Amino acid sequence: MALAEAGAILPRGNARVIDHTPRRDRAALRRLAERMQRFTPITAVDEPDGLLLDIRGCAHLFGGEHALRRRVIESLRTLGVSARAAIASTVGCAWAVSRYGEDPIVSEGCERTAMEPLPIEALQLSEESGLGLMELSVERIGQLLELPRSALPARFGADVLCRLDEAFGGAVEFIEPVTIETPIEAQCVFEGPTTRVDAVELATRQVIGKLVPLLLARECGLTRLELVYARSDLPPELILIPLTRPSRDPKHVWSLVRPRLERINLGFGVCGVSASVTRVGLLRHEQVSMPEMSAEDASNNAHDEVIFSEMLDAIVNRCGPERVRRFECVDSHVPERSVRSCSVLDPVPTPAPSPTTGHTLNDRPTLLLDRPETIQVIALTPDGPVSRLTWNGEEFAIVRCVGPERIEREWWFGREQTPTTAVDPRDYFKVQTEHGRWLWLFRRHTSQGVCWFVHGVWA
Amino acid sequence: MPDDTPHKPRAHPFRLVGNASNDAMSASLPRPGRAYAELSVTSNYTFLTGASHPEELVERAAELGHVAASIADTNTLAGIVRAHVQAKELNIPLCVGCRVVFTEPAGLQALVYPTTRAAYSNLCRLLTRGKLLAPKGECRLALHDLIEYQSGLLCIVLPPSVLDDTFIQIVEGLRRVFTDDRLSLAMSRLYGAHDAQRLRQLVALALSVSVPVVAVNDVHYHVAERRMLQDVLTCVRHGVTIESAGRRLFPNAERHLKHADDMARLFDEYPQAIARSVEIARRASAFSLDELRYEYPAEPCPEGITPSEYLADLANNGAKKRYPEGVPEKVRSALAHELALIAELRYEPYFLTCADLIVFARSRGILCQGRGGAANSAVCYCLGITEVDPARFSLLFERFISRARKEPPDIDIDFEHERREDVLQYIYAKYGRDRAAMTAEVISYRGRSAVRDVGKAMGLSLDVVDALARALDHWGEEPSIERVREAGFNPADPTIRRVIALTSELVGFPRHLSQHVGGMVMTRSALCDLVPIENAAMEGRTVVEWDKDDLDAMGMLKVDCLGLGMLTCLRKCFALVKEHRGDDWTLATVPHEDHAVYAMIQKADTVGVFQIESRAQMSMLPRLKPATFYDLVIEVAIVRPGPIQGKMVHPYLKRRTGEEPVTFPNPEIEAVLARTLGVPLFQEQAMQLAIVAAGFTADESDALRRAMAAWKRKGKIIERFGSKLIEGMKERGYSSDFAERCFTQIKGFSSYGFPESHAASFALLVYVSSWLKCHEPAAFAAALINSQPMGFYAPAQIVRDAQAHGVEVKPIDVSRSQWDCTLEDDGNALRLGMRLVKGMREADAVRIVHAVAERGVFDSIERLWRASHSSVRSLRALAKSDAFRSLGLDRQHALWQVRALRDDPMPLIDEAIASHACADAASRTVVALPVLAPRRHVLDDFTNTGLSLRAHPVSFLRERLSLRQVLTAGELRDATLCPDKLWVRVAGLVLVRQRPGTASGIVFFTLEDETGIANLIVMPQTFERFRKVARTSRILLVAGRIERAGEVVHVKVTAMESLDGDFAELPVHSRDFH
Repeated sequence: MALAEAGAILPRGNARVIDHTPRRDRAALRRLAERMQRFTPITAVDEPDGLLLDIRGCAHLFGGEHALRRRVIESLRTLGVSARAAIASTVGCAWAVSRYGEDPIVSEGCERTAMEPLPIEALQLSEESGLGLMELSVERIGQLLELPRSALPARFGADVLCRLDEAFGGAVEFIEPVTIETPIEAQCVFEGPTTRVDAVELATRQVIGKLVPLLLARECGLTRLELVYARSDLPPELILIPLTRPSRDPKHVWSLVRPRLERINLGFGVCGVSASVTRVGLLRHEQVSMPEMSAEDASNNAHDEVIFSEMLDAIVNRCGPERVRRFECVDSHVPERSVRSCSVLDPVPTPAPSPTTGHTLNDRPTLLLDRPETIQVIALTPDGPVSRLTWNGEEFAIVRCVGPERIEREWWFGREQTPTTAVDPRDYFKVQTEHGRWLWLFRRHTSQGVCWFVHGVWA
Repeated sequence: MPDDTPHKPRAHPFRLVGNASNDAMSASLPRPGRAYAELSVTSNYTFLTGASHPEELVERAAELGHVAASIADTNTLAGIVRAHVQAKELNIPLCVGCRVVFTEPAGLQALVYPTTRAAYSNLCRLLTRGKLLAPKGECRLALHDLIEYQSGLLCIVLPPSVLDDTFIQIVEGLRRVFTDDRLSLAMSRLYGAHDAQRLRQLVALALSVSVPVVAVNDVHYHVAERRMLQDVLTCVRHGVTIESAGRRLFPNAERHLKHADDMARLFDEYPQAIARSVEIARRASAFSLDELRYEYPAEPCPEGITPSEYLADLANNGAKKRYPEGVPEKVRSALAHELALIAELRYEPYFLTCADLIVFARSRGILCQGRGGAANSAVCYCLGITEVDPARFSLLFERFISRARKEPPDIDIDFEHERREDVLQYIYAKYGRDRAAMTAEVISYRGRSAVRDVGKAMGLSLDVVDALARALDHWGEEPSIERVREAGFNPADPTIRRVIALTSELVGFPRHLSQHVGGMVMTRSALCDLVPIENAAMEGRTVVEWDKDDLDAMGMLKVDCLGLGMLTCLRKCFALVKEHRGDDWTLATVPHEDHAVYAMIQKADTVGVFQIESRAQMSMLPRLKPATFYDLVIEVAIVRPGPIQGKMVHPYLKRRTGEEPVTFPNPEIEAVLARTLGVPLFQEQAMQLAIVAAGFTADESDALRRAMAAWKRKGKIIERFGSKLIEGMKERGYSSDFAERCFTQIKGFSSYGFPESHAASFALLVYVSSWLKCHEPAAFAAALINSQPMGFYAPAQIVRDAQAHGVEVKPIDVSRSQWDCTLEDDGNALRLGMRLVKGMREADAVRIVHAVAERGVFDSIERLWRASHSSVRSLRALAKSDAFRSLGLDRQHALWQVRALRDDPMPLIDEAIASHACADAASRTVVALPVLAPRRHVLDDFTNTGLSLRAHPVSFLRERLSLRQVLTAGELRDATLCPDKLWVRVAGLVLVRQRPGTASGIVFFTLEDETGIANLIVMPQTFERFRKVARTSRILLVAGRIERAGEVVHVKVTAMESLDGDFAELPVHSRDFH
């Protein structure tokens, strides 16, 4: 059913639309599979809506198959998932019975009896084969079994026999179990609380060092590190290290940690250090270059970038992440809207292709005033160039004047104006004072007549 | 908002000529001062770019006192005729121009203006070349193309943002080509950051290559207030929202038409640039579109005879054939009158062209009939173009051709819909692709599409846009604040306000050019000398850039070749009757005034009949009780929105049943209205009333007709006619009450009134199809099914209706059926054809039929497959439709056998399986397949053929329905069992859901059960309450009250329930109309 059709059925079209997110569904299913490892070490995801548990040799630990099945369902219910479960000696049969069957536990050898009354869908046939059987009104597995086996593949594809064999144990099925990812963390526990700074420093460096192979193994670098110092008489101290780009260089990380470590209160002694990587980014393995090549490579862009980001990391960790800002261009004609300040830790957007109309960065002043400042201006002719201006009580003669550049208000903002009058432009002029300073002025027509403002300065 | 009453859809200025006020001229006479003409003008025919109509731009240029108006849209002349008509109206010269955007060198742009008729042809040829090289809607032109066609063109080069050496070389190259001072360099001051510097650079460059500069303002809208709409259009073009559009928008609102003084101030350092604009405008306006002398294609006349004489000959000979017992005096004088007028206006070639088409169609056995105004002409009747006998009808030739109207007559010809393409190909073959092309149709923004695009551009979320668009469903075209509140939006919200305001501006804007359904343009000389031609979406079709109004305005000939399904059906039916009965009927020879036919029509037994098969018509038939051909003409015309809104239906019915006396104010009026019992029902009557009662001339009354067609858009014009009409009638002694009433009725025609001639053409098809249905029900049903898709009813209803008329209907069978439905048992039984089988290919059907004809009935599917080479896909479709009974196979066993067959050659490994499979398919071992319930068989029939001859699906529910006191449709019709106002329940398959625009939200349902059809009325509140059930159910159970009016029975529904649960697999096949 199309969305529009669904919307048309609902009164007044009040449909709430939630996007299908297969990736998130898959992740959730995977988490469930991980949770199920409390029952058996081999659990697997069966997309889109199932879990497979290989309970061979596990049932007796939970008091038999019935009890195990109940506990699995119960534990899923506590997670907010209502589930149907079946136990059988083949995956195909368990799949079918869990979805379509009545009696959830099929003892070995009884697969055929259990499956005969089930609908054809229970065989997980390809759509084409399934539809082909439906056309013939073969709706139950029992009816399918009555047809001559040798005639089936030519008519409905090879997968019919294959599925049947899988369900009845004639073919081997494999499941791919989930493995739980271990967190990237390391720790060091002292024999007793210590107040020796050098010992704590050494332990910290060791802990960081232990993280490196873990990161290497996953081909990633850390972008956030959490260090927890357990203290004997005080609550644990947490140091949070954000990085602007992924790194697994222990020297660099240590250089960020060290100034922070200097400032912590060791109290009556530190009992241990634990480090955990809470965010990572992809960092490819790199070929180590020969020593004689490194001089040329130093000019390499990538290398420069590393040095720059390490410097940024240092500044960020000294001043705090909120204090280091970056400017970003916004595509807009209106000057005060054409830049935006954002945290240096925010991802850098890919630059949009520059359009052909409108200004370039060179037309904009290096310093844009937060609030345009009122000035008095003398022009020789009403529309002509500016000749003198007074700003903050200071008077300047103007020697050059470029403009006007007319910029119209962005009419789609604001609540007050009626939608049809939107002609209210500012005329910008780039002027040079007698002292050689370049200013950016604009005039606009207000109820008091023409008003002039300074909006920016070229440094 | 500059435009208080947006015209929707925007009327062509040509339609309003003579009626537009001259306010524009008198409001602001040109200010004395400097002269200027804007030459870079982009109208909204540069789609999604310009934000003003060409008319608005011309009007504004006139207001501002420009030396001339001009339009130069990107690679098109599509808007130029509208501008031309408007400019003539306002008496301002128009420069016909075009902005050529080159693909080679990419991005280069130039404005070109023809100075002579020959130069205009060059421009058209240039654009035609670019368009024919590119897919639909695009244009591919290189600079050397322009150089090839430069003769007589003025060229203004638009400089790119960077003035590099390549550009200088291009300008130098062009200067050598555009001799005689025809090249200029455009410069504009649009308040960019470096205007002054750029102007200096341009002037220096121009000086260095010695090309004069010209000032332009790159106009995109006629007034600055349109900037917002232009921004929105830019967003739509780029598919972005207004907030993210950024520098894709223009930074300011300067691209509007400016006064000469303002332009002079902007260019005060370069007065020569302003002067140059005036000079170019003077030279360009030397050419006017009026110089285009359209010439009718020369129809070959025999040596030594003028076209006029030839036409008279043809008409008189035709008349002799039409009236073998002597031409009536009335017709003779009409012919003379018409021929004189045709000769005076020199329209002979046009009539000869149409006659030629008819002759061609007849020679191929293609049924055709002229409709519309042409049916008002005795000449057309005698030439065989139309079938409405002037001896029997009062025709009004002025409706067709008028001396005052400078537009060619309009002949619409209906052809069989399946063979219209043959006619089009004949035209292409006869005139050649360079002399014939399709008419364009301008697709404009309507309320819904406009609000959708504006809403998206304004960043509204999709569901809000949808809700607004849906709300427009009920508002018609005009979005208004009150309606917005009703739809649940906050009208104070500024974004919503802006969306509404912008939407009303956008409505009526052209969005793209499409091709007209059947309009063909033909010329004597090359068509691309007159108008650019572009490719159509369909392969091998070419389309001119002008729509039918443009062509009318330019006086160009077009013939509308339309497709009509009923003509196909009638031709097929005639052929079947001829084959089985030996009777050779034609439209003209079917026996007239057959009582049995009228008796059938009066019972509303008209399933499948042309026009009167719709539900509204069917409920009118028992009341109107047509008994003569003229009653059918009225029947066709009366069930139309025009007469219904003009409130003429009830007065007419009352007079007809004798409840109201038929009176006339005087004999003059009686002469006009007698045939419709004093109630005006046709456009012609309104026109004649104006002539007879209010002293209008024939041409004035024709203007009144045009105003009637357009009064929604130009209300004040018809009011002006109204006062003239009422005054005129009062002067002649009619009561003002009568005059007012006449005027109200005339206004009622404005929307969709039928001309009598048109109704008469249609009524003939109504009569012929009724006659066939009455006397040859089997052939008629077969022909109807063989002409699908057409008409109102699906094959299932047609078959059911045929069965009800005693036709034996036989199932589809692979050994008996053809592709089409056929007749058996001397034409008394209907054998369904394989065309009903879903997924069946016609070629396979032909192969199978051929194989069966050669070898007789096969004994296995595999043999049939091997002998016929039919695809397995088609065989499977046949098996699913249970068409192998003659081979002794039921549906499942046939499918079992077909399943083993494979179309594609097998890979080697499967070969063994395949041969084995074929072997076992051939061996008739009985496989234990499940047994099907009868219900399932019926469902499979419906799924695969759309109908079942076994039983009606509802019959399987009957037992349970009876327990719930549900009546059958047959019982509903019984007046003693179901008196008026009785509460009843009825259930059935939903055939039709219909929400007519005139019924204020009421939805009409048609249900079908095993006994027949039940008609439901669902009020809007009920529909809303049972919305889900009402919209999606296939089988519906309803409760409600009987509404009985004579023979007509409706159930006014109060509750609905879906019975789909039992028939989940039943395919949806109701036809939903709005």
